Amino acid sequence: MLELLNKLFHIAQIITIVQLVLVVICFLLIYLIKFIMIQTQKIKTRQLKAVEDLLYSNFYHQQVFSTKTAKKLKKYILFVLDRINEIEIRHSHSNELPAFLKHCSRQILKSRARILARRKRWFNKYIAAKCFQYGFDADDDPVIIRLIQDQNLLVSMNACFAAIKYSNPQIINSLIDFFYKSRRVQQSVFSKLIARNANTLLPILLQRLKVEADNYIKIFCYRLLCEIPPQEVISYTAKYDLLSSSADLRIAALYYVGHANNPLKNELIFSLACDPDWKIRAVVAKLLGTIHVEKSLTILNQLIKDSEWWVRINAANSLEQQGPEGFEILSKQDKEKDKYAYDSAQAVLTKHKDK
Amino acid sequence: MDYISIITIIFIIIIFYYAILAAWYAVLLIASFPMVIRTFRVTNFNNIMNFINRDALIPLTIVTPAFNETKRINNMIQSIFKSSYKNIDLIIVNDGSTDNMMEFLIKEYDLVKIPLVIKQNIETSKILNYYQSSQYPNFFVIDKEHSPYGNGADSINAGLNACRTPLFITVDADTVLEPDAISELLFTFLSHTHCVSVGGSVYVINENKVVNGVLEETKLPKKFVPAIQAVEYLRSFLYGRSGWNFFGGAMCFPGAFTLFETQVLREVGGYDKKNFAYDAEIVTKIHHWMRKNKYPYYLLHTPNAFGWTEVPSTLKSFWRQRNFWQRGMWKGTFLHGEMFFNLRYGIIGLISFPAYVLFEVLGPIIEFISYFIFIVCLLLNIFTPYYFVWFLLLAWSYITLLSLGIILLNQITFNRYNNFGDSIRVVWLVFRELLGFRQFRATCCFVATIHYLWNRLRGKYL
Repeated sequence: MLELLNKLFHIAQIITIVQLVLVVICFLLIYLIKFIMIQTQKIKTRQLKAVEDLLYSNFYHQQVFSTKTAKKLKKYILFVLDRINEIEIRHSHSNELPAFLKHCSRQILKSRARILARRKRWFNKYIAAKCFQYGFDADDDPVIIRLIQDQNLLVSMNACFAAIKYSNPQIINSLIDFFYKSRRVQQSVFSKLIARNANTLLPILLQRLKVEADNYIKIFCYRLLCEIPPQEVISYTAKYDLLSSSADLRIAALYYVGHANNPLKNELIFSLACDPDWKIRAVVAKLLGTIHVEKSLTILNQLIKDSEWWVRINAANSLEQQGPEGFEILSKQDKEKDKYAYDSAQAVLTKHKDK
Repeated sequence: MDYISIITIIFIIIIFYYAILAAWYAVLLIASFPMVIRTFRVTNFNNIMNFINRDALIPLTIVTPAFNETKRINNMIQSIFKSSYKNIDLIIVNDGSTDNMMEFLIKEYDLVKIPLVIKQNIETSKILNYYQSSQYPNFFVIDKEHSPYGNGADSINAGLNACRTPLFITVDADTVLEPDAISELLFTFLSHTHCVSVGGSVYVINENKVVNGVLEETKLPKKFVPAIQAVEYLRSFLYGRSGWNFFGGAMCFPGAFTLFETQVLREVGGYDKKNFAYDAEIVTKIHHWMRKNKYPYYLLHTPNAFGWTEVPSTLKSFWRQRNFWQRGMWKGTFLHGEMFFNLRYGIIGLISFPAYVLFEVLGPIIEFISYFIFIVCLLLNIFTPYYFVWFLLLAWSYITLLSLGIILLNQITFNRYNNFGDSIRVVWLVFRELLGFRQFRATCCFVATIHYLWNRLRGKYL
């Protein structure tokens, strides 16, 4: 045992000495690397400055890039994208900007994007998606769709930007097909992107609703329509979907109808106040808070006495939104007649009192 | 076999344990280098951060449990408002504070009561009131009764019930975030498929000046106790957890600054409100649940999202903190013990979880036992003080080498401690750590383990 211990001790001694030497080397290495980094940074800054000058020169003189220049710029694609973005922001009202972006897209960005989109690493695909945001050809549609369907959210989001910016029905429908079954967080992102190009995308969404048979896709389309600013027109498909056998589809259609800026929606919503499904009644109770007419108060007065908790509490909150008349109805709830309605009313009244 | 042979055998076993531990830490350090450097290179491309911040497409909720944090909470709140990512709901959960924290918040942020009704998906202590700020409509405060378990888990669960966004971040009340911290966290989340959680890097804020939520300087604290913890945190976050990414993700993320996908947190049932180390346990729980249900997932640490938090500045408060942590970690270990060397749980079951238990949880216990054995060996003349000095030198040179590796990594990447003197000070602190502080920490963890086992025998939870 003691012999083993002695051997271990000798090994420990050797390792200690090696480690101490490595400590000294490491110390020196830290400062050497710091020095090298500073020098490398200076060289890099000079190279990037040259690239920046090339870009600005092309912007101001409206020249086509030579083959040699284009090749050089492709090598620094990250930096080029950054600078193009900066030029876009700084000179957004300049007449030269569209031509400059066209040159960049045609000579540098598109060709680079096509190569990078085929690579495995997500960062390369991300750069490809960023490049395509400045334009792509019809032949690139499959590449864009592939990037959109990438599991990496950053790649997917950027490809979506590109697709929506130069939207055509085929690509938008591919987006819907992919996103309706993706994660909730992906759907949230996509719906926000859709909302930014509402005018161009609205007809595509409405057309899709007309022809689509899959309930889940329809639900997703209604969700997207709710992200777009309220429209005056209510899709006639929604009127049929309000009577669907699928509760989720009915709820989605109901929210869409409630979102519309059309007085005809009121009757559609009122008609569902006595629906056998409590989830529908709960949504109706919620939507009635935004419809300030006499009939809303009447219906809410009934719904606050509903057998389901969510219906009652939504009705109570909606009555609060109705103003003094709503408060009157809440205050009149009698504990002896309906304890649950009374409790729901009190839940809202008590919190409002302190406010 | 005489007692000297027995003690010698134990000593040799301990030496082998330390050899394996040293190899493990070396592997983590080597594994962390490419990951940290790659993250640094990619995020240096400003376009990504601009894209994330400019569009701010994904709403997220930050939840902060707070108990008697009047003096520190304002800096945390201001740092979040100054964040470059704007699409944030901030929820402070007041856990029945007995100081004037609620009055301070009501006055400072014009809070008004709101008639909010939230479904209690996870049971918590009674909610008294909900408030919303008139100045900052995305700022909410939940006032609830004090949790009987004396930790922030119950408050975070209350915040989780109120969360309306797909992403959820926990931040401690004494933590100040850098402006880009949330964007960096989001970047890691978005750039990995199936990512469900991202842990940030937490460094020590003690003695660093903070003005209105803005950290003005980043230096190692002058006082010894917080300074040694600063080195520990640097080791743990810059290389430790980054290296764990290679092995399926760390078993423990800092409660001071971590992002989760809300749905996952709800599905695992939220935080364990009885556990002091609830932030460590939730990550292990997610690993367990996701692997058991065979869901694809990533739990990642990001080395470039920085939060700065206060650490105990006295030995007494340090002891208390580590006592709680050690007991909490033991509880988490036994709750998820099914994963231990279980092939069914893949790399987590075979490598990560056993390494966590053997090195992180058991490590300080074995360290304490080794000190005890050392003393016994010295007294029994099994070896001389000469041996002892060499072993001490071995330990010191190894830890110094690791620490210098981390400083090198820090230097070539995010460079948070860029003061020339700090590099030399780290070496000095590592040396001083070996002359008493490590022994203190090992004793604390050993006592905590005995405390835990004794409480469990008496039928208590922790």
